[in-house]
Amino acid sequence: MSALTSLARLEAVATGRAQPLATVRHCHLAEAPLVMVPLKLAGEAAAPLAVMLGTRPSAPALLVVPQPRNRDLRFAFAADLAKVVLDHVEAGRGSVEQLPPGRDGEAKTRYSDAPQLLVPNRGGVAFLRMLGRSTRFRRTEGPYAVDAAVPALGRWLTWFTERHDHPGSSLLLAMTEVLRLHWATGQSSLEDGNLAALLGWIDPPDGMDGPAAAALAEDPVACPPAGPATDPTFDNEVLAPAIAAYNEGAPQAEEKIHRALESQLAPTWELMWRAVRLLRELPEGASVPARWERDRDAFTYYHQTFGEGYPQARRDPPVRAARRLHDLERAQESYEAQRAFDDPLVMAEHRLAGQAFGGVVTECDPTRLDESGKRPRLRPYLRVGTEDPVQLEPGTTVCSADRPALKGRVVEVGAGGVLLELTGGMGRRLTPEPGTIPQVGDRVCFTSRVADSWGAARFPDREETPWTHGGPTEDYVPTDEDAAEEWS
Amino acid sequence: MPTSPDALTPDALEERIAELRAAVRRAMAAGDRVRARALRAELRGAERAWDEAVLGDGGDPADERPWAGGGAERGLLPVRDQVHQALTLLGVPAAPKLIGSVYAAFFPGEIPGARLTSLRRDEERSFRTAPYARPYYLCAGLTADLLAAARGLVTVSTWPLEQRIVGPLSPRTDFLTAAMRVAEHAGRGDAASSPQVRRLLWRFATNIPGATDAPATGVVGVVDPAVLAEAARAELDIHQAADRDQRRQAAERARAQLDEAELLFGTRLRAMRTAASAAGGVPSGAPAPAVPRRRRAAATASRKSTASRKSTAAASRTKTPRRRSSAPATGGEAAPRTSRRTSDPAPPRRRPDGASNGDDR
Amino acid sequence: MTDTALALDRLRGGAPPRNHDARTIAALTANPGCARRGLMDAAGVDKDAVARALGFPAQFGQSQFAITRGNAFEAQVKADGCAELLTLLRDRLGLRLPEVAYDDLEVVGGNEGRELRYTRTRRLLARALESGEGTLFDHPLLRLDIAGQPAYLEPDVIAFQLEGRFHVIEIKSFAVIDGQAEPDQVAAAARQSAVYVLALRRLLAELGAPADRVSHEVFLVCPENFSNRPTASLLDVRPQLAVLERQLARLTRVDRILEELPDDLTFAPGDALPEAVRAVAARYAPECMATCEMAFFCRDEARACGSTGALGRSVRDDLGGVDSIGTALGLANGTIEPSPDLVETAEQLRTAARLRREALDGAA
Repeated sequence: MSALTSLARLEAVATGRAQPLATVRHCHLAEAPLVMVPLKLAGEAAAPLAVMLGTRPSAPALLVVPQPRNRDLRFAFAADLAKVVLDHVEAGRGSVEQLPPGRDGEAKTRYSDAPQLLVPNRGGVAFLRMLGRSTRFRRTEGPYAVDAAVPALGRWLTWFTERHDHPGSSLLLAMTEVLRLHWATGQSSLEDGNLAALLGWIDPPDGMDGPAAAALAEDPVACPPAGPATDPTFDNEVLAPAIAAYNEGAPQAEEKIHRALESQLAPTWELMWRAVRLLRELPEGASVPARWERDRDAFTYYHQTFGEGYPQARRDPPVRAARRLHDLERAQESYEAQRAFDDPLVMAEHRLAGQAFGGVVTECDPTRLDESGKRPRLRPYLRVGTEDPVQLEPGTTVCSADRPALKGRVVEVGAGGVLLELTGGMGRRLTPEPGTIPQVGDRVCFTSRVADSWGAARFPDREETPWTHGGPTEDYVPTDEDAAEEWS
Repeated sequence: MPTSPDALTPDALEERIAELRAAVRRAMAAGDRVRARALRAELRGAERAWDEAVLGDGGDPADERPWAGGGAERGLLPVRDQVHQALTLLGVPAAPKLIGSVYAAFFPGEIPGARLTSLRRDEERSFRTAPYARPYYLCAGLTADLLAAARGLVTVSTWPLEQRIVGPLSPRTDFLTAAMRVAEHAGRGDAASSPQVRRLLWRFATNIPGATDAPATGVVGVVDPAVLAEAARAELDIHQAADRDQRRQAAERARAQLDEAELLFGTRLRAMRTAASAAGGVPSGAPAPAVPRRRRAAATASRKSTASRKSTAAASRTKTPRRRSSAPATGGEAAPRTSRRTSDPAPPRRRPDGASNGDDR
Repeated sequence: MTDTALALDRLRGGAPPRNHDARTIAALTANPGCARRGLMDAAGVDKDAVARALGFPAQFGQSQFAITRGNAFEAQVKADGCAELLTLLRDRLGLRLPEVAYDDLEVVGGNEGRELRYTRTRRLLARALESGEGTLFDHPLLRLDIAGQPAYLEPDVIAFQLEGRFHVIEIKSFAVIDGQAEPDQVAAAARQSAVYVLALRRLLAELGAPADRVSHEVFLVCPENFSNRPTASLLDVRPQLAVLERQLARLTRVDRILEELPDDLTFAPGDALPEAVRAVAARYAPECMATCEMAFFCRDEARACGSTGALGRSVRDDLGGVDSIGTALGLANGTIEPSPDLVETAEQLRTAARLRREALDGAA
């Protein structure tokens, strides 16, 4: 949230339509993503009720648990779901790319593609996380045996939800979050959590404006909630009697449950694909393929080591947790910087915050040399006239938004603009390569927010975890207890 | 406006069903129960018509009324006999749930759940109609302090009063006694006990210190009935004496104060102030107040009782209020409310006998 | 009755006051600056009925699956003399083996009247303090005065140890998975439990015992992982207690709000209701939707007058606290001259507008 996004919201209110917050799409969209719309039973931690899923809008599959409290039916559902998800994972690999050997000399590969899951909202992500947690420890033999695919499903779902936390990852996307990144509506964030209302602002049906479409979307009878929570009146008036009928063995009861749940899922299914279409209309951001490559790396690694691996532990040991946190913070910084380079609207945020500035070059001394040191170095001066509220201290390193290789240092910030000393990206000689230095009259933008401005983390090895964090931890090995966990 | 449901095609019926469903849901969401009820009746009609149209004569109207415990075997015994058997095994006042579990573990078939809840009321009615006509009645446990029907407990009328009265320590001692009786019974049977027995033993054992210790020979995770019985006995020893005392004293008071029906089914009176302050919460050591005074109070009490019993019965029959949250819900991501209670702990209507609804004066 | 009480009675339109419960009292802490809500709650007005009469019914209703699960879990934990609860208490609180006494305070001799239940609760707790008798008190009834009206509160269970400490026990059916639960649900439970702790402390004060005999740690019982087995955690509700006490103190100043209002103001149903409600200022924020039945009405009002608050508190803060959407837009495009305290905000908004235009034009 910033003055810029808030201003965009005001503009949305004034015009009755959502306003853009991005000029490009900042996430990768697969050709055939697996869209999943889950529903869960009220009052339970992870009792799945149904899921509508598929990779094409015309062909949804509907999986249902007719009696959500029946353990066997639940695991049958999980097995069916596993089949679809695992198939998608396998199909998502594409071909294998050979890469130059890594530092240790070993041959590295990377899959040319990776699977992508799309869910309607954050609740959907949380649901997958819970489902992953509740299935990944299951055993395939013994008293509580489940189908072999179920623990695999659990591990993959957990992996997807962990990647979701990683800034810039596109493996698992919550549609409301993605849409909110690109558009500002005239309602509050809370109301934006409603996918139908959000889309109503972004793409209102003919004859309606944003507010009218959103009002319609808030009626749960006309517009079923996107889940995973169901509407209480649906539960009480339609679902509960249907499940009761199923319990008594009434004829066609299972089919009636299917149809009831389908009525709640189909509208959200349509919304999901409409959202996908809207996002595809945006051009892809320049750094998106690079981030997708990181995703593909992670996928390749996890897929190839899956056989020898264990299900993810319940809690991170301290060193891993600290390292993960550090990695996430770095990734966040990097992601924000990259988006700014891709998208002037995002760069505008940094400019407003005084961490970047843009304007017209008013003076330029392209051949200026710095002779204070042992050898003379090329240090051109550039003065940029700008009205931006620059908050950079002299000495701050900046780089050019158009060409990040062009680096500079702030010399002074004054009424006439910012005086920069260029320090790199102009070639190796004492005169600049042609075309590397902006000319007077050019429009330029320089920013201090650069990707990878954090150092590498230094954490103790696991064996040396300090006593303040509980001392050295042991390897996690799953036990029988995990598999014996009861389900309510 | 529409023609009678029978004349509509299945498609039209489906549309009508969808319309009615939406209307019921809207009515409920707006809190209009009356309208919702009317619409629901229409909805059921339309659904039945659809069933007939689509399934042929698969749906028999007589089958409509759902029978509880679908799938449970129905034994040849009436429910009251089933309950009697389970209670006899347990030997202590017990809640319907425990009675059901014990029966399912040790006897053929199951007790249908819905019948259990109306049992005490049915038994009381039967007794009042023809006292002692039956060899035994399933009746209430009495609370030691107020001699009222203890909530949620069933006992057998042929048990001694001390066994049917519950003091503050009794829920625990009865639990421990029940554990011992169940363990004994389970130990007598064949080695391979059913999963229900195992579950029942486990339910007791996880809540008694030392009862889940691995037996000398056996397998970890399975309860050894002997170990369970021993552990239950050990803890029971701590509470038993005090519990016995309290129950004995309460039984004395009850015999002095209550008539036959009340001894079985509890007094329903609003506690008289004198009786309440005298009887309520008296520690076991305190002397009982003089008997004559209490009897007089009891006499006036019993005269009043017939008059106000109907109204108090009506009021106390009101079950725990329906738990309803009144939170507005936004679509999609808003989390459901966690609170379950209505605003009022007590029913909001004024009591039919015009008695106070609890407001301060 | 005092003037204030008379005024509140008139506001209610003579209807009996709506009873508070722990949830509504906890909700009082959510939006302290809202005069409309503060007044309605102090008077015990049925906000749900008012909202419906105004044409903005709050959608309520809870799924029976959730209700059933909640009831079933609570029944299970309390079954057989609270057997499972005792095990948890022995484990986590160190309750000793002889401490097993169970007193059921839900029904008093077939009579569910609140006054009686409250009196009996009081008596038994006093006895516990005096002689150490009693361990578990099931469905006790407590009382808390809210702006002169008694509110009856019903915690699930109160536990008492022979060391003389009382603990409020709350049984909730949301799951604790790997030792963690949904933060909002835990926060809501903490807020609600703090109300019980406060009420119990006040009762003890009346009985002459120090407040710290009621522990500030609430014993929260929840299902563990994906099963029905209960697990317990100790919830420190001191922060919630502090907020609650502050808010309740402020509630008594409702007469200040009343001073500003016309003498004949009433929220009784009728044609004058919309005007009456509007006469009392509200402070709508989207968070109201989760706690107050009037939320839809106030939202509509906020949107109709172009309030930035309708978009959320953080948006309003980003706009320097400017209340009106129209003003903010005017400052942003330079058509409105800022007052001295809004000069900086205006500057920022103008820059923001310029930057957005530049970016959108450049991309076009």
